[in-house]
Amino acid sequence: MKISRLLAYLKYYWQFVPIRLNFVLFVIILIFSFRWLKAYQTDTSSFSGITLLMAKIALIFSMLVITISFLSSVFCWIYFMIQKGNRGKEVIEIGMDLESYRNNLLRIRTKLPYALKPILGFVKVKLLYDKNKFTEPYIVGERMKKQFFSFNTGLISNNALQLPDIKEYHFSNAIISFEDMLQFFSFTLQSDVNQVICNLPHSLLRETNELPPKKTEEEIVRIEQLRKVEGEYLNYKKFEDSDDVRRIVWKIFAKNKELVVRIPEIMDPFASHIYMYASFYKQQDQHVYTEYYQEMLNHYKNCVWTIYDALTKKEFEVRYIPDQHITHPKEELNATKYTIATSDWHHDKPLSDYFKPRNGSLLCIHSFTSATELEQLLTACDSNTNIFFIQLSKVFRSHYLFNWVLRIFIKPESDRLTSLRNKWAIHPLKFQTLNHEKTLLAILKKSELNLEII
Amino acid sequence: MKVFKQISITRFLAQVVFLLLPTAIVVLFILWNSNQYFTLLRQNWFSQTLYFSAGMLIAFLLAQFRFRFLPLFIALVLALFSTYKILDNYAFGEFDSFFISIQFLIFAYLFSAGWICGWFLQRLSYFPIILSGILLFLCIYLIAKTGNLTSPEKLIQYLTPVVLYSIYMIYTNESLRNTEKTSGIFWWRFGKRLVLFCSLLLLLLGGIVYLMYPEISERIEEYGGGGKDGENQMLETKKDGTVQNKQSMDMSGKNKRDKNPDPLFCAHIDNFLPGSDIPNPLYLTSYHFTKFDTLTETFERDTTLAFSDEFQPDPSKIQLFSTFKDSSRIEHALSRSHRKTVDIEVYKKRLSASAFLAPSTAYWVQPITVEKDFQKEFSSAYRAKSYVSDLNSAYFIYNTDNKDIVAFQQHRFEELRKAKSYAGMDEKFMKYYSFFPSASQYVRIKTLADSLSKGKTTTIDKVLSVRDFFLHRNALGEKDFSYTDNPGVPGLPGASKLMYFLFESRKGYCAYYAGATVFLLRAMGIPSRVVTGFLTVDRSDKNTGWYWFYEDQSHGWVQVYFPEFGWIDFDTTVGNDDAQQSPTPDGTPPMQPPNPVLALGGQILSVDTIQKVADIHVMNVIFKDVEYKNIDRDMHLDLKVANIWKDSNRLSIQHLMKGNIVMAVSYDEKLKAYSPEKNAEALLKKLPSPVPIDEVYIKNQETRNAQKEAEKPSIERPFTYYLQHIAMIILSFILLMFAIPVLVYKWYKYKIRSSHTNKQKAYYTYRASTFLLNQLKVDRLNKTPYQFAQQIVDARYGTQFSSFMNVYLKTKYSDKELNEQEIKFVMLFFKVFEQRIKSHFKAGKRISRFLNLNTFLQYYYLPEPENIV
Repeated sequence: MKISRLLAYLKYYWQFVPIRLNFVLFVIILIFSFRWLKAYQTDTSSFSGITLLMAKIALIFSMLVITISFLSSVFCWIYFMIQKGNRGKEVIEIGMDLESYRNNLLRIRTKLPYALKPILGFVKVKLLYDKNKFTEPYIVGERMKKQFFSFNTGLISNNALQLPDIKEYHFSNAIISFEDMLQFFSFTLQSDVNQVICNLPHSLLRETNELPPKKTEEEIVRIEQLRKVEGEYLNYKKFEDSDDVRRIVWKIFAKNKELVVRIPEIMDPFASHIYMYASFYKQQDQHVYTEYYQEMLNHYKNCVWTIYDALTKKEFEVRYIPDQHITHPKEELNATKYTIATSDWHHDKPLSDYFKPRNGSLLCIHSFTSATELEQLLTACDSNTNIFFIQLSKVFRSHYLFNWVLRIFIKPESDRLTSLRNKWAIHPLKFQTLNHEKTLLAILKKSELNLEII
Repeated sequence: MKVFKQISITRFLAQVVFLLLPTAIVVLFILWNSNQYFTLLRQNWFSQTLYFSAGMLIAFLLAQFRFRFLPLFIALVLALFSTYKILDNYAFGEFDSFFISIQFLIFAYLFSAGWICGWFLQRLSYFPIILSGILLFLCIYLIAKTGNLTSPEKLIQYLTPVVLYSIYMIYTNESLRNTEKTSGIFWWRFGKRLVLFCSLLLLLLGGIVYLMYPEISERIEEYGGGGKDGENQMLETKKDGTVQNKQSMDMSGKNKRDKNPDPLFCAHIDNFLPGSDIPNPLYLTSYHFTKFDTLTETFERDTTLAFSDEFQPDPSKIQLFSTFKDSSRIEHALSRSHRKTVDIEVYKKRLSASAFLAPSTAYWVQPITVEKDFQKEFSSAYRAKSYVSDLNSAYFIYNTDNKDIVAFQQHRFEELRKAKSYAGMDEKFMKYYSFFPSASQYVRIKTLADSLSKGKTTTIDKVLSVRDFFLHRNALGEKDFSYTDNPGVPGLPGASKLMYFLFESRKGYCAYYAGATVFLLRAMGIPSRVVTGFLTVDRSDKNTGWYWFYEDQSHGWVQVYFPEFGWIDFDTTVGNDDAQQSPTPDGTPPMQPPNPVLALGGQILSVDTIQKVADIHVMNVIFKDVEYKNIDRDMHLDLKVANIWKDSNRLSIQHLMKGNIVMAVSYDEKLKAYSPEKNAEALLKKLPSPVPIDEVYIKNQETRNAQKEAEKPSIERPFTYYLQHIAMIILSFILLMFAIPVLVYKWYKYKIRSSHTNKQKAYYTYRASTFLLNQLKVDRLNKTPYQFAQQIVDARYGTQFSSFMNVYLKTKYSDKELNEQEIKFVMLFFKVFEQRIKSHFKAGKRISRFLNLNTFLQYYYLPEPENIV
């Protein structure tokens, strides 16, 4: 067994050990104190009696508080276990709160309808995803019903979770811990959940210039209600022989004895749509430097979403054309956002197969796009094609010298991106990426197309 | 690198308020205690707390911004070290340099300690456990060492905040880390939890203290507690404001030597150096502390001691001019050589009427009157006789460098060197007065005593070796032992405190020196005892023989028994020079009244105010200091020149009434011609009739009763008394809480009855009805009030609630007045409605549901909009 795997096992099972570091430290201090008192308690010592008395009061008091803490946590744990045995999966409900999703924080609504909270303690939940990864523990502390005497009211919470990657997460298990007020004990149990939650990309607040549309599309507009403007119904026309009889609006006929049909389909004589392409095709082997590629992918997704989001706020309709097949499961989610969020690096669809120069107004490419393919593609593009080149090396860019000086005095944050950034200065991937970016830039500049570098 | 990323101001502020501030307060307590103990700190505890707090706050702030510990701490240490070196090298003057360096070092250590605390409090989630542990043990150590633990309440008062802090820190730190960082309702949530937690802690600690109270009291008593903070440990104040020597040796904690400029009393001691008019002052003795109790480790008075020479009459209980004599005290003084009788007159100002003080060994007392010009100043007086040793003189026992006195003392020591050995002394006496406990902890004192008495053969030399031990100066000329009213440890002479005094602190007040001396002497096998009373100082040569006594002259010293010489005073207390000086110049001594020839005590039978004569039924007689008791004889008194007194008021003869208990006193020269007879009958027969009387003192029954009242011991309420009251209040509060729904319902019903307008009546009927339904858990199921009335209440219980609702809604929303029928309906509705509803619920169910506070709150509960962060 590999050490890392062993450590992962240990880490997993450690959370089921009910004793926390706080308690261990408390016991150590207690042992030291006991030894000190024993050494201090001599016949000739003037103060041993009174010192022992005070120590005794302090000890009894702390033991009482700890006992209450312990018993209340154990009771809540046992109660929840019984409920779990009786009700199974009903004991935990996880949901995503889309409305309050912002700043890359996922709002998770957790309900524990049959959980009791230890006296002044905490109930914490951790979610398991990707087989062996856990979210940060979060507290479920609100009571579901407001009552003067709160017992068995169930617990609920809205928590902000910062998940590392922009993708779809499948939570298969929840680890529920009942912790006492002093955080000396943590009684844990596991419960199955089956919840898919998508961590969506967020906008980087970037402005994009107006782009010319290339694709003409039929617009299908559903007319919700009859609207008449100056004697004429808007979006309706008089029935002509060529019209489909099924389109006759009998409501208007009943009113006016006029035969009118809806005119939902408009063939715009001009180009109406901006077709946006974003390639996730990557040449390099994905199994090395996974974390770097994952961070770059997150950044790329955010950039693509930012461009899409900025364009949708402009005049023309924008249509995002994905380069991989993604089934959109939920209607309440923005389809494009979801598609971008769940896209991944791939080797299946090269750029030439994906981008249609005739329709595509915009193409997003990244630092790992194949140079030869790009060169070929650019020859087929006209001057209305806009290329957005997202330089992924910028994800890890920092002011190195200043950073190193600063690091002597300031501890960097312990998140994955910061730790990768710190290693980036001497990382082999850095040089590969920068070289490749240089080649791509040369090709792009040579083509004299509309180029935007992000 | 973003330095200011993710800083939650709310959480930071909460940490400062709830973690750093309590820590600073506990540190303040520790530093305050340390300042009492370590003179080096120079009582700058507030500034020192500020140093610590500043270090803690700065480090906490820097750690919040993820600054690294080591580089900054190294920089800090270097900066402090270089500043220290600069100060050390460039400060002017040797003393300045030393002083500034020490002060800076204190600052540097405290600032650095604060720095470390602040840093780790921010960084390590488990650090509060370590910090609480350290601070708790520091506090316990300091409370034990320096705390003036005179009562269980004092211990609880000191210990409670510290113990609470230790658990509070662990909880608050975890709670702050686990509470939502930026939530708008952070303070509410956190505050609510904190209040609940603190209440729980207080409840638990209260319970523990309640259950352990007997043990705490016992331990405090064993520890020597009992004295009160800030009191003169040698004196006690009585209810009437007068003072007297304490009857217990619970000389613990600080001795507050009162600088009250008003003297306690003045005394005339008729003792002069032989053949001269040079006054020879004598220490005035009050109580003897003879018995060492190993269980409580204290010296105690032993009133059952058969061979005690302690003379303690209560002058206030002896009739005026009556005498009380106990010759057995002279016998028990076991003294035959160098003895004489000395007269003393004591005039009391603030000294208790019942207090008796006289040079050792007193055997006779007589309460006397105070001359009328001095009655405002002096409340009472007595005359006493003592069988005094020639070798007992205040001059003999002062610890002074005055050559004359030293020479004088040498003479005395020479005399005492002639004293016989203790061989042949009564075994019981020797065993009692030289008792030394054999427990292992006293071995050290025994060893010290042996080393002091090494080579000393006579008792006096051994005693002097002990005195010299306390007076010893080191090579620098500094005294080994010093005088202080704040010795730092309570409970002397508890033996373990003696150990502390003798071997550690070496500072204390008279009780410490006296206790330690007796312990050392008894370890040498010398019979000795502690006595308390007053130090006599001859300050003025204007009124020779008169001495004034102030509160700071209350004193404890040692008496050593020398065969044949008896009990001789020794004072080993060093450096208490304050008591030598009086706070104000001595006043004018009172005029001594002439010695009465005759005093007749009895009841007035008749008074002739015109002739100024009276008849008295005599019960006791004092003639020329000879007292005759149990007399049953009537006498005729001549009151022509007599002054009539009641308390200190002079009255006319008209105020002398039949039945008055009086003392008639005569100074008549004619009576001096008579001499005392064997019995009173013979004497009284001889006396002329009517007997010329100069003063008549009417006894005041009321004063006696008041005095008895004042002497009643004050009721000291035990700690449990307060706990019971708190429990009662909590119980009442709980009962009241559960009674709230019933009270509110009654209130609505009262309002229905007392409403003057129909609109008001309808409104309160509606409130009372809906309240009743709510309390009985008739659910509204998201229906409008009218739907609820119609579809649920009327349908289920057959009431006319919907009809009432129609009328009520009319009063609420319409301008039209109700018609007569509607008014009648409103008037009658509620009574019927209430009966109908009640009939559907059993009494038990109704009661239980009315006790439910949840449903009560739901009646007033408006759902809040969900908080979105």
